[in-house]
Amino acid sequence: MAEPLIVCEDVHFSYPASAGTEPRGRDAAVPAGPPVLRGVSLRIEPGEYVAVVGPNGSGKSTLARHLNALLRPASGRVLVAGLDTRDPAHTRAIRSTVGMVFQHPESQMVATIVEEDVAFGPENLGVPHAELRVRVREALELVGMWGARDRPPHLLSAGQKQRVAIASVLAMRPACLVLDEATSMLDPEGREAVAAIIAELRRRGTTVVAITHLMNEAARADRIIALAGGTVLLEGPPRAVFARADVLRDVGLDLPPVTAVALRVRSHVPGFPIDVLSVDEFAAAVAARAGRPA
Amino acid sequence: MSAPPLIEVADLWHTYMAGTPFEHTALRGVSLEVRSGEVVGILGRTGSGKSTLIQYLNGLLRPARGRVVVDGHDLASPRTDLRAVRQRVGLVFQDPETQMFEPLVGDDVAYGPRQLRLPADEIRARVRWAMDTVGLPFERFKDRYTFSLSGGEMRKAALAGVLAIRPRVLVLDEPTSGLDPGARAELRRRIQDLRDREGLTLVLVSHDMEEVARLSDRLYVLQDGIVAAEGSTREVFADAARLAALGLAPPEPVQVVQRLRALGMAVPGDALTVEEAGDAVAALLGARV
Repeated sequence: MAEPLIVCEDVHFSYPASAGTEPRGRDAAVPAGPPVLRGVSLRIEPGEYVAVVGPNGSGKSTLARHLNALLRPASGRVLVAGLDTRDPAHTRAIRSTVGMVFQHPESQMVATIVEEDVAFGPENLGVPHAELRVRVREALELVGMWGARDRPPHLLSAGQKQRVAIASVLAMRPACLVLDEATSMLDPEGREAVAAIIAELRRRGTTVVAITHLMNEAARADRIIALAGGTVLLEGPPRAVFARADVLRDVGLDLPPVTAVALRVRSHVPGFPIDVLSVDEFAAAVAARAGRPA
Repeated sequence: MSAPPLIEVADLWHTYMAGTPFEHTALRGVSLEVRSGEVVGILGRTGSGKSTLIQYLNGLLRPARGRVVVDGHDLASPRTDLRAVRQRVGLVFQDPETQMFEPLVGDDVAYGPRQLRLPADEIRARVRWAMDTVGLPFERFKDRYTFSLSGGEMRKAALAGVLAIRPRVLVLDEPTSGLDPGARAELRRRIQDLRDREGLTLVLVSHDMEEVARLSDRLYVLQDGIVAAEGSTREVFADAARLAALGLAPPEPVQVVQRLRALGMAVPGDALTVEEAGDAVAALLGARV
């Protein structure tokens, strides 16, 4: 069995109580605010696609920022490819292993031309010119934006900008891509485009951790980690997690719409399966009951 | 004889950066109307012209070509009283919480009424009503710091700030995006109450098809600056092929029903929501619903 790519062991974290101070905890005089992470332990295996869900304030985004040493635990530890994020000597290696994409792609755009924006990261890593060109092309082709390489990023649509932001991270060839609500501002087509990119990354063996509020998106992952109140509430394959509708509802989380329809059917039709995650699966379940081939 | 629509848009055109290499025509002859008391949903992929269109609805943009009439005020006329228009139509932008600027919630909500130079007790009454209506009880929240609110509470505070102007029409751009499912469901209930209890007319722009299905009476779908489809919510979502061509898909419960019908199963009714679709499928399977 391969080593896990990321390990969180009993991670605790609070932001400083007063606004405007660095959330590093180096200054012992800064009092800590309320705990945001309260003993999170988890593992991410290489090549896995993990969705992290949870209500607002559950600690999802704070956890995401621990995965590439943007934040460091107050107690407990985070290991990325075996490297402890608390050791500043490892920060560079950790950030080239785990790349982050945020909700607003504008926040991470630096250049006036798409191609230069994507080249910025690997250039800073000291990637030689010939190799740089290969990487930029590969990353832009993967996200379907090679044709727009000469365009100014600010003239792109929100979905296109997000694809460029993803390419900019992929050009650094991280082993793991963390998407922090990267699709929440996109239209349905933009979301589908990101889903297709994730599918391609999985084929190539890149690990993906996606923080999301969209349950139909989470349903496509290999595994879901549901956070609530700074701890892991539920963890497992989507079918197992969504079978706990009552537990999810208690913390303000939904089922994917298709699963919710199945649950409604079951309230009238005892025994109707509720472990359906897609329209296809739903249709098959109905066909089996109605005695016809799907 | 029916009353004239509250908002009437006729053959509206809009061009950004006209005469430059970046010239872009965002609206190409859009016509629509919003009648008193209805909820109108506006759909379309990113870049279809939705955001440009809604800026006309309260006079942030004024027509150079085409007509926009809001409650009798013709926005093309230089003599139009824009203050009156903006008191009738409140616009809540996407991510409104980024536009809060007063440190205390009560002051932030009071900003609009203060601009209207209303008497102090009227301002207080409106702020109280607006905060109570969105679910931020006035006494408990008026002295809270805006930055200490949760994402859902901030969104409600921003909505209250626009409601306190007492508009007849509320235009909401992606009102629940980025919120968690619990906060989203609550805000949707509040929005529904605004229509059902407060009699507001609503224009809703959203990418969330479940939300549009639950809240809207009628839909307009924009594509490349024109109205490419319009009709009742059920009619528009019923035409899956047309929607797909416009870069959209019906809500998943509707997709479920459409798939079953494509497989030759006679699902009854015209289900739109999770509950309706579940009941329709149960009926198909012989349950008494």
